[in-house]
Amino acid sequence: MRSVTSFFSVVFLLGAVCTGCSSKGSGPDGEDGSRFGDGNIPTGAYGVDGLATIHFDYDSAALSSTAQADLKNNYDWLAANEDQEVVIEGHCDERGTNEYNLALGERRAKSVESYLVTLGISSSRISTVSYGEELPLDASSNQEAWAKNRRAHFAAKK
Amino acid sequence: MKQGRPRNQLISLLLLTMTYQGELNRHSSCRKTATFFIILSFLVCLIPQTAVAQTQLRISGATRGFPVAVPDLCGDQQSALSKTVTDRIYRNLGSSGLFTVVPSRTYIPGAQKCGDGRSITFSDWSVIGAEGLVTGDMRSLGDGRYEIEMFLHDVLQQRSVIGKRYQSSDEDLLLVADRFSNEIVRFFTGEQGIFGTKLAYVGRSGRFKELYVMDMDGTNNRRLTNDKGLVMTPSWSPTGKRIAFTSYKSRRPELYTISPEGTGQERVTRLEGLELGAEYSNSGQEFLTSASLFGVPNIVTMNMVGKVLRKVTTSSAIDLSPSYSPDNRQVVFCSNRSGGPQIYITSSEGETRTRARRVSFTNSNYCTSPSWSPSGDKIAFVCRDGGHQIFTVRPDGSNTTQLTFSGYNEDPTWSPDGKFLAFSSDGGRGGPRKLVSLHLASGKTQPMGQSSAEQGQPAWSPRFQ
Repeated sequence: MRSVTSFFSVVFLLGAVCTGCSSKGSGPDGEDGSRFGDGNIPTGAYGVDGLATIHFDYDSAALSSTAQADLKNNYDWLAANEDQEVVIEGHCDERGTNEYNLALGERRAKSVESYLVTLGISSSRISTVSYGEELPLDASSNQEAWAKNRRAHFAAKK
Repeated sequence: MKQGRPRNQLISLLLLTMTYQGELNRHSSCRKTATFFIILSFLVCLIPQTAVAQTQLRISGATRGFPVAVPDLCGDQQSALSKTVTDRIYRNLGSSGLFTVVPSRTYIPGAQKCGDGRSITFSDWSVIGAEGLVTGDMRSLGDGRYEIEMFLHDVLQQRSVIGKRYQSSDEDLLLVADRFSNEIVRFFTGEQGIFGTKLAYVGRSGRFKELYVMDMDGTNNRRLTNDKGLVMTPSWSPTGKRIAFTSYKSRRPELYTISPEGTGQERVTRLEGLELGAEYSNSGQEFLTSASLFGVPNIVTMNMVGKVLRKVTTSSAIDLSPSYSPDNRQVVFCSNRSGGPQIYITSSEGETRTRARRVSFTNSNYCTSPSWSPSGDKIAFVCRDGGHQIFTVRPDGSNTTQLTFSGYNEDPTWSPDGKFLAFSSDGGRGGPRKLVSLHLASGKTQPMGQSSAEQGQPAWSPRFQ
């Protein structure tokens, strides 16, 4: 009887440990890491329903009037869903150097964050990350693809 | 060479003495003529010998390298091991921009003499066009150790000019070849060669980008990280013992360091925002990096545990890609403060003391990726110009020179002697970027990597002590 109990205790403990250590899903602080797949950069399709992706002009982090309109809608959604925390990703098209595009992507993400915070969203709900030109939505080399890739995209933090 | 002069003067003196003692005494007119010619030959001997200068002139000529033959080593060794040494010397000298290696298929059979009492028949080598000859001996000491003696001979002068003896394990034979190749370069140029230096770079590994290191001839290519994210902007510490880089290992861009063997990866920063491109100071205790601490990437100095020490730039623009001058007094960087990104120089104390000064004056409105040469006299950078092209400029902003003219060429890094640039290039044909090196004096480019995958953001190591 005792050995059976010990056996099941071990199995139970192993199971608990393994569930807690699941690497695919959560990151630190229970962050939603499902978009990262088998690595530490996102892959596949992901986003937050209700939060539009913001688009930018070439070489610019400025928010056009369309971008501002989209951001006002995003603000409304965030205000209505107070528990939702987000990561704003900054992206660039492939033109330009990898290093400069990482910095430009950072400016784009920060620019969007700053606009939302000014409208009234708490900055503790938002974090930013730049991926530069490294994660294009469309890997073609034409104006249409480039326009799609110049974006700030919202991902669910939790 | 220089030893010729006293010998000729001695001969003249002897002739002069003989004239007055010998039979010419009897004929005064003959004596006067003889005296005249002897004095003339004496004076001619006072003209400086030019044999050394001729060798150096041949080296500096951009079109033709000094021709050197590199036959197999003598000794009791299996030819595969000793061939490691000669193959490496062969490749080193051929890639240096200084030498032309005379191909082994032209060597006269039997010209390479091994065994007791061997002496070199220099005419066997001069007849195939060699002016330099590398020979050597490799002998086993047991326990996997070897003694290697290497010589460089001046074929026309018919004498050896360098002789070195090394002891090595079979793992370090390439080091011996590199060290001897550097001795050859030092003999001809007065400056230590760069053989044995390495390149750190970013390579694609599936959907990820990881840190790689390879020897400067593309051999010993090795992946150092398994961060499963993006690795960016590697750079070497002054001793070559650490490589700093940005990685998304923690799902955010942070600075890390690692050894060139891929061990001891340490995280440096835990900061909100982007930290991109850590350039070591000469002390090895501080970095220059671009950090977006307050929403905008600016240049700061940071210590080895990620504490910000000083703000170098303070603009509301994007400032990035810093590179120290060799004396660390100045910093060159890229900034979009006047619209499109351009290249600026400021004091490493910070631009609040000295206003940043622009040094990129091409027709392009997009110039990035500056790198200050270790010799201090040039800055390399990239401008968009129908693709991306490499330029150099003097630190005062003068003498802008374009080095590439087609395709995409990015991320220039200097060799430690300031004579080569390595950068990533699509060769003007589109497609994946590969690492190439450009010898500035001759304009010759050659591929560096042997990998088929995309390679970028190279950083050339210092010479290893």
